[in-house]
Amino acid sequence: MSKIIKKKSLRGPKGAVAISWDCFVSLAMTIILCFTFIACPPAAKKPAKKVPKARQEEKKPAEVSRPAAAPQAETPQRKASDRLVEKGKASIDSKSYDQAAGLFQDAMNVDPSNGVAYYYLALTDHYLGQGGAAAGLLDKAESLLRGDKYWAQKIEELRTLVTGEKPQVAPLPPVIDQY
Amino acid sequence: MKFRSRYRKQKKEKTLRQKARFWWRLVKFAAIAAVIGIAVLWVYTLRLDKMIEEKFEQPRKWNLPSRVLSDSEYLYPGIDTAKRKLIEKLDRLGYRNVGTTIAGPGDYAQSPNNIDIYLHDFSYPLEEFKGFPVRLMLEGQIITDITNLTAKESLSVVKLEPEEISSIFDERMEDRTVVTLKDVPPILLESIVMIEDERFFKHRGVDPIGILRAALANIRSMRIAQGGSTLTQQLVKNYFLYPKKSILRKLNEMLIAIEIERRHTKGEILEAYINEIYLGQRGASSVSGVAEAAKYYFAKNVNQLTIGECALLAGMIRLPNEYNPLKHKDNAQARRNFVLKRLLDAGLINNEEYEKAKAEPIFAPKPVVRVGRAPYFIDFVKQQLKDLYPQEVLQSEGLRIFTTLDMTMQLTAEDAVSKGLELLEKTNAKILPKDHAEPLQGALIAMQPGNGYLRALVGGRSYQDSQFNRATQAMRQPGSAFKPFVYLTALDPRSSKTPFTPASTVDDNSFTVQSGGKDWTPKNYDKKDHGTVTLRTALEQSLNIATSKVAIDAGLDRVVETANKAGISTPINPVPSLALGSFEVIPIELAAAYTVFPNGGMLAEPISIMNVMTDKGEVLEKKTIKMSRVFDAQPVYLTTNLMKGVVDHGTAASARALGFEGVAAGKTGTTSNYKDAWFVGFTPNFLALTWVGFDDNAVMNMSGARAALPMWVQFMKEAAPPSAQDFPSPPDIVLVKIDPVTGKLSNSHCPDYIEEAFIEGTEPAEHCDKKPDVENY
Repeated sequence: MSKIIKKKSLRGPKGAVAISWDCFVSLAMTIILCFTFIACPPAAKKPAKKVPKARQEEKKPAEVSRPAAAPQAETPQRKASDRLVEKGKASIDSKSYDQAAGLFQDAMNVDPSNGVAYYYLALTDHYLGQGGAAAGLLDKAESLLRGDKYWAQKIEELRTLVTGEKPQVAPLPPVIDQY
Repeated sequence: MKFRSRYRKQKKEKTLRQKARFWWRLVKFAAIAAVIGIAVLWVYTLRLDKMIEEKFEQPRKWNLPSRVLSDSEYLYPGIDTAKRKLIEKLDRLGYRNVGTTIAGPGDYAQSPNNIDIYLHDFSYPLEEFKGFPVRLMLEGQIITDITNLTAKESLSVVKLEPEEISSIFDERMEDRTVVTLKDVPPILLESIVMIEDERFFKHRGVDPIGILRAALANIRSMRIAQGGSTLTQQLVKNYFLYPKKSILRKLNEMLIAIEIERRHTKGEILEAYINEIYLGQRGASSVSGVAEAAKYYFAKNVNQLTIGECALLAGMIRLPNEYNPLKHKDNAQARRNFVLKRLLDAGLINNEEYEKAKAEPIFAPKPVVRVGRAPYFIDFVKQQLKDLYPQEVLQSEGLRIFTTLDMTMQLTAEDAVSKGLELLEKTNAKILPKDHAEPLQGALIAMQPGNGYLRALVGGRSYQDSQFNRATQAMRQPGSAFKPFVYLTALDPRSSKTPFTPASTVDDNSFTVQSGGKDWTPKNYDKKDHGTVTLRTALEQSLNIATSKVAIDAGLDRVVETANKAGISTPINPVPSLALGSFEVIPIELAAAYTVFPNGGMLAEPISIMNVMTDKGEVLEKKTIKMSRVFDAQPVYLTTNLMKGVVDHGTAASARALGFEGVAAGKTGTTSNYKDAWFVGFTPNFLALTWVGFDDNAVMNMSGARAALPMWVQFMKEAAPPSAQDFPSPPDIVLVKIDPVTGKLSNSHCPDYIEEAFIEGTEPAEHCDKKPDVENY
């Protein structure tokens, strides 16, 4: 049944006559187009120089990226270390600097990547009049807290205090910010 | 007749006179003897008085041993209790496994989902810690939550007290904790008095009634069942006299007891007694006094003892080893019940208390003999203490020395060294020298770079066989383990005479240089030349020729300067062979020097003693963390980055094959002729050094990767969790894709690349064009 319908649609009412006309028009168009291209060739171009890809790249500057800053992740280890930092801060508030130093050391022991613990130990050393020891701790804190603007500023402020004039008798601790 | 009777009378009178004279002489003699005796006794009593005054009436009656303690252990969610060997630690700390429910200090109970611990009280420097019950919730072996069972609150961290590693005794080897009468439960005092000397408050040092009663009891039982010695006599015997029995000693004992009673109150005598009395043996040292015994047998402070425990302790005085609850639980229980019955009969406890105490099970902690723990570390600590305190102070003042040692890590380290060496000897028997007089030796040092804490130290395979501490006393050639300091110098623009980057190339072809008037020609371990190589390849593959050239170009004097700045104190000559570690170092100094890498150029002062505290809690010595910048962070980062390659695909790549995971960097070390094998490796937060060799410098034919690295891996896998976190990078560091062979910028022509780190502005500008014809490594 479908075969019969196909035959019908191809031939149409006038059959083979319609197909022949279509073919003629297509052929004529093709000949005209070909003639046009031969008669009017495109404007002559300089042949493209085949440059090795590597040479092309030579001019490019090196693509650089930067190592990712170590994330200050809130791991249980960090949480435990932060808890000790909090206790240490409370000891600073009560001017128990030796006790505070012990707690910050413990915090570093639990999480040696906790830059905040290094900062506060440096602060405690400063209050205890051991500014010399604080400078190295601040450097370490800085390397661990890289990318954190808040801590960068805090570290810089303390560094100025530590490396500036000889620290006076332990000044009153500033209000310790939350972090 | 008269004459005869007169004669008899005269004779009788004469006899009487003679008798009278005899008696008179006897009386005179007796009187003189008595006077002399009294005088002698008086003089002797004076002498005893002086002895009592000199020994007994001093503020400090006993020489107290100083105790060396480990670091305390923090527990928090995320800790793997199996890896940290928590139960073993609790046993070492003297906690008692009580089954299911913890009731008092020193108890612990274990179930699949949790561990309950009733923490001990502990005196820390500047902190009096009061123990409380905690529950560690577990998922598998990992702590998920910590709860204070008293306050019913969740805790983020909890601290376990330090372990006692060693005691520094005088010749008497007595372990003692001194307490006052008010520290001791009255029932313990009552039990002691009742069981040892019922008439203590009635006699004056010697108790004739007691002696008579004991004699009768002994006759009745036909054996010496009772002694009849008073508490005062027992104190005298233990405190003043020698243990050998003799009549003279007994007489002395009586005299001194009477004299002490004359000079002191009963309370003073009882207090001395409870501190003096011998209560058993712990290894080579004795357990003296009730407080020390309470700790040893019941893992408690004396004021925390139950009635049952008090009864047992009092009962043990008679035969401490026979009634030792750690060894003879049944004997101990029977003795305790006997004492409890006496207490009940005497009305000192009521029926309810009696029944409860009698029903108490005896939970004794696992017996722990402290002798021989971390012996090389202890020697190292004692060496430092010698500079601070004279020996007699250490033996008598009861100082408490808090150290940085992590006892769990230390045991892991000892195990890694002994088992590692055994395995090496087994698997490399063919290449090791045959019938060598001395065994292969090893050392391990573990440090925390961020604070300089020495966490574990092993100075040899057996302290019993050799006390020479190879970690702190040996002088050995570092070999290639020194190379990172050459590269650090070369990569530091402020130090190196020639600018280098990790991608700089260097010629690894044989050359000869004049050194000390002689020709010196470095050779690679594989005896081959490798052509042009990058600095990365040279370090990763530990190429000797290339490294020697780098050292010469960077400046030999500059390399020496770098080593000195990193803390290496042994002399180093600025000769070309220094690049290959041809001088001697002390292993602990090399380990400390390496801490500059994970520390970003800062040197942390190594610490092993944190605090020294008196027995009264006064802090005598306090060490704080000290670190100072000795190198710029950038060149240190670059060198560390190169050393990461050593572990990932260089000479230490077998670490990965052995199952070591996480971010790490390090360097193998092998000296010429294979006399020393090293590996120094570190993660961002932890560093360990291992060394293997013979004491007499014999050739062992094993490289660092073969001999020292497996030991390092074994230790690190147990001691340090894999680090997911990378080494923190300083500012001004950029990563650039370069061709690993030429060190030039990678491109489509050289598509294989590595991301190399550079100090900003020093990255290569030249693109890779064509790979040179080099052999693969």
